[in-house]
This record gives sequence, C-alpha cells and structure tokens, in this order.
Amino acid sequence: MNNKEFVVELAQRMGVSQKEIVRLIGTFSVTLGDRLSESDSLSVYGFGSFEMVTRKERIVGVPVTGKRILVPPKRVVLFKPGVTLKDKVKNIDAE
Amino acid sequence: MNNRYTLTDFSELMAASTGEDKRMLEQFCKTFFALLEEALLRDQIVKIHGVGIFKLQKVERRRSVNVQTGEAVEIPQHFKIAFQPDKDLSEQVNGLFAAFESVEIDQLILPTEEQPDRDVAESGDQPDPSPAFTSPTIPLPTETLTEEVPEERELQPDSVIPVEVENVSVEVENISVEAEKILIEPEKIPEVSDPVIPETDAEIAGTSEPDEPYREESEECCRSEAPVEATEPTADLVAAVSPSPDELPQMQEPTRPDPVDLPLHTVEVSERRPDPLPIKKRSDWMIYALFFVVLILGGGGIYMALYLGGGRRASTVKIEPIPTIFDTVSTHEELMLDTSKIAPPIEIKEDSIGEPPPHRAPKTEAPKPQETVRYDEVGKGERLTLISLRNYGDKVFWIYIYEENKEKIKTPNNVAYGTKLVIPPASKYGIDPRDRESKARAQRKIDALFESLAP
Repeated sequence: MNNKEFVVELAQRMGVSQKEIVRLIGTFSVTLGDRLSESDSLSVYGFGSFEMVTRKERIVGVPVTGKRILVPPKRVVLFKPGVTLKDKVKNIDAE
Repeated sequence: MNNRYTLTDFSELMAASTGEDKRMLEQFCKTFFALLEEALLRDQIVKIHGVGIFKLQKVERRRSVNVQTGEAVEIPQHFKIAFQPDKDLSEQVNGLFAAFESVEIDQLILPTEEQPDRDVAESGDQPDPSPAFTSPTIPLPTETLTEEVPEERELQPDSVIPVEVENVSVEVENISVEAEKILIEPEKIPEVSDPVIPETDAEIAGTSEPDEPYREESEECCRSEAPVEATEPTADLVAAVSPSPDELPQMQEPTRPDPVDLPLHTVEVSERRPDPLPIKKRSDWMIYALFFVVLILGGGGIYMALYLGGGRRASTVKIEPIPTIFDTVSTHEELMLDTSKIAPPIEIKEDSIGEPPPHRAPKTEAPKPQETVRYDEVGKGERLTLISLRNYGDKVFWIYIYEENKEKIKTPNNVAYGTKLVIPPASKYGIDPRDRESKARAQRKIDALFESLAP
C-alpha cells in the first residue's frame, strides 16, 4: 500500500478530508522525530515501539580500492515490532 | 530523556505542540496504527510519507542448533517486519550527528607522518633565501642588528665557544675546505634560483661582494661555525673520523646545505658578530638534515653491503651517485628509494636460510630458486598447507609436496615436527598461485587423494 492509498483509506475511516490527514501525519512524524531525538521512545500497544539508538563509529574497509574509511557515529530510528504483531506476521506465513 | 510514551501520552504531546483537540488526535493515532497494521498484513508493504516504509521481509528457512540441547533444529521460513524510516525523520533524529563525515583513514594518518619530512625539505629551501636576499640588498642594517645584539649576546654562551674552538680545531680545517667549496658553488646556485625573484640585480651584486669578506674572514668563518658544531660536535666528528660511509654524506653536505649555508655565511660573516643566534637556528636545521642524510646513507650502505654480500667497495661506490642525485632533488624521494631498497633484503635473507619464496620476491630474483631441489623443515605446529603457502604462495599446492614426500608422511593431515621435506620446483607440476587452472588441478588431486584415503 503506497502513501496515497493509505491516506485515502485513513481519511475514509476518520471521516476527515485527505488534506487534513496529510497534515496530521506530518505533525505526527515531526513530534515523533522530536521525541526520538530527545532519546524518548514511543510504544504503541499491540503494534511495536519506536526508539532511537546510537550507532558507534566504525572502520570500514573497501575491498575494491583497499581503502579504510572511518564511518562516523550516527543516531537512527529503530522500530521494534511488538509481540502480538510478530505473532500475527507468523500466522500470515502459515497461510 | 528516556521517557516511554504510550499513544495517549503521545497524542497529548501532539496536542500541546499544535493546540488541537487531544481526543481527535488520539483517535487519529489509533486509527493510523490500526490501518497500518491491517495494510501491512494485507499488502506486506506500507509507505507513509514523513514516517517511513514498513515492510514484511521473507526469511528463508534455515538450520540452527538448540543452544541448550545441541539438537539440530530447522527454523521454518517466516516473515519479519522491517522499518525504513523516512529521510526527513531520520535526519531529524540524527540531528547534530549529521555534522560528522566519513573520512578515509589513510589520509588521516599520512599527513602527520609526512609533515616533518616536508618541513625539513622546505625549511632547507625556503627560509634561507629570504634572509640572503634581504641582507645583501641592504648591506649593513646595523641599526636593527645592533639592537638585537645585546639580547643575543646574553643568550649566547660566549664562554663555551673558545673552549670548543680548540676541540674543533681539527674540524675547522674540514670546514674551511667546505667553506671553499661553498664559496664556489653558492654563486651558481643562488643565481639559478634568484632570477625568479625580482631583486636579481641587487642580489647578484650582493652575492659577489660578500665573497671577499668571506675569504678574508675565513678564519672567523670557521670560528663562527665553531659554535654551530659545538652544539652537536658528534655529528661532525663522526663525519670527520669515520672513513668510507661517512664520506658520502660529506660529499653531499655541500650539495644540499650550500644554498642554505652560503647565503648564511655571506650574511652572517659580514655581520656576524651582531647575530649569532640565527646561525644557531639554521645550523640546527643543517645538522638535522645532515643527520638525516647520514642515517639514510648508513642504512642504504648496510643494506647494500648485505645485499651484495661482501662487495663493499662496489656497493659503496654504487650507492653514492644515486642518493646524491636525489638529495638535491628532495629528501622525500630518497626516503621512498630507501624504503624500496630496504624492503627486498628481508626476503633475500629468507632465501639464504633455505626457503626461497619465488612468489614473494618475484621482481628481484624470480628465476634462480626454482631450478634447484630445495628442502624445507616442518616447523612446530605447521602443516603441509602452511609449507605450501610459504613456498608456492598458495596452500592448495601442498598436495605436490605430499606426493614428493609420500614415504616420509604417513598421513597428510599430521606431519611430524622436524621432518625434512623435499620441495619440488614449481615448474615440475606447473605450480602457479595466480593461475586458476593450476589451483583447480591441485584441488582435484586433493579430492582424489582424500577419496582414496577414505575407508
């Protein structure tokens, strides 16, 4: 399902215009990013949780050129699926 | 920090930031995730702008082991959820960390190593001409000099000089000889370099004039140099005393330091008494450079002596021309040359021990070792593969060593320590670590051998 389909479907369910939905998704993502960069986490019951983790700097070798590159540390968004969601996904597989 | 928000808390936050109805937002969030889950399970992929892509990824079935029981378990094929955050979101989260950039490590390290060398090379060339130009053009800026005089005199340990002059008296002769050389050469060198710089006329005039005082004060010049040598007499003493290898550096001393020295002398001889300090500084450079050259030449000489195995005269003679040429060009290239020279001897030593590795030193002497029958001893904890790797450059070829020594080896997997093995010449079996076909042949032989050994 791509973004447009998602927005349309969500608008239908909420009974709101698509524009409104797009705007709400925008606020949602901004708030999420805001909280995550404060190293807070958002856990959605039954779905999973969004967290921020720091990846340490590391040295990477490029086999082709033989160069070694120092990759700087970075912070990334991590999504951890919840148990119920995992189970559901497994059930899908069984079908 | 490290707060764990539920959807309700989160919608409150959203409401606080936008000022919208909290309930509506909570409703929105719930529907959002409900739909997301539903769509994910149905379509296996959901893309949402600003948030990211949720995706079900297929994981193939695989074998595994139960850690506790050691039982082999098969993990069936299943799906896992992958989340790829949107670019905006990840940038927002990465925040200040985005300022970091990935750096090539070799670049980081190299400059620090090279800098000192460059400094030597540059300092030899750059700083010297400038004083040479300024001073000759303005023949005797006595005022400024006199101003400096008191301070420098205070700094300079006068008492030290006379004492050393006696010790150095022997050196003085050498120096005077050098000084003569310098006298001759500098005229050529500065003139070549000078035209680039606008003050040529004054320059030439300046250089030609100072020569006379130079000769007149040659003795003084020696004295003036005496403190220089006094600071590090060992270097020059070594140079003066030790015979063959150090003659080389002395030969080169004039070539490199000249541009440095001569202008210095011309300047400093004429106005020598006022400022001895600069001499010291520059002389330090000279001495460093000298040391550098002596070290390099010494290393080169030793290596060549080893390399040629006793032909000392020949080696020394041969070495001389090369470094002298490159000395004048730059110390850097010399380093490069030397390293390239020093690298091979290690391999050559190994040769002499009795394990000629044709693959390791192919450039220097490839043809020699392959003709004769060689022997190798099994070291402690070594296996045939290691010996093969050492001799042929690939462990696959151990099969040939095994075949050659079948009577000595009971099982190829376990060879007794200290066993002397015949190493067949590479040409006998067409051994070539770079040739795939050759390797494949060896591998086939190995397979055949193990099949025959298997019960």
